[in-house]
Amino acid sequence: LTPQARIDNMTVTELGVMGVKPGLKVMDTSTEEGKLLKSIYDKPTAFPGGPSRAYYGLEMEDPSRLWAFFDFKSVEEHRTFAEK
Amino acid sequence: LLRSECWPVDQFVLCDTHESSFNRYGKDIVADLPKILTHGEYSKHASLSPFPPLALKAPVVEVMVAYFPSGITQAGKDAASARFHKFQEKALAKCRDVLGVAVGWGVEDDFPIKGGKEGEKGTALFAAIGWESVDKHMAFRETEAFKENVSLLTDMERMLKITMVHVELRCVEREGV
Repeated sequence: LTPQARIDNMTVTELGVMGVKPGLKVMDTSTEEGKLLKSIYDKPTAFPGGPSRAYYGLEMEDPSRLWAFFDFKSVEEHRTFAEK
Repeated sequence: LLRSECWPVDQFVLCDTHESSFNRYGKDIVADLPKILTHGEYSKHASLSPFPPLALKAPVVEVMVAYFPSGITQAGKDAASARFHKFQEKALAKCRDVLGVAVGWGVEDDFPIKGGKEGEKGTALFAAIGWESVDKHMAFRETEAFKENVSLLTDMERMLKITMVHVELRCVEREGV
């Protein structure tokens, strides 16, 4: 395998941290903001070539921080999806 | 898939080329995020093992991040990984309340160091450890297995900082995976 092919075949997890607007209960699906967040993160895994799994939720020590993780079977798959 | 200035910030994708092309799908997906989120701290990548990192499915996930200088060598990374695996073997593996472990290095070398100096960035070793509850994790920290081995993590060579938080994650899985 070429170095590029090795990278393309690597599994990869996209991960990140975002700030939540004060007072919003984004993980409570009985709220408008909770419904919106769920509708957003329900989408990526439904796309062909999208991530296999999305995980998202609040940090318990600081609930103004939202963590998210997305599993991609390969960097190539991730790149293709990102370019769509 | 995360809110940031250039999504997804990815060393394998040139931002200027996909800036226009991801509009159709990616940007539509995240277009509403600014309604409820203030900013993106970062959006990057890690090679977690085992893959998929099913520890993330546990009711509570302890996320440990150990930060190292951006220029850390492969040998330096291997030494730090070995210490984590030794901790896993000598402490985590002895605890029945551990529901899963996934560990791996960040792909990028410019992770913002939480609690570090203003603008300080580095290479990051991530570990996700699954627990039934925070209490189960706290009880583990009182055990001899933890106390005798925690220095494997806290005294890693060249480590700049180590952080630990708990997250409660919701998982969405693609059908047929």
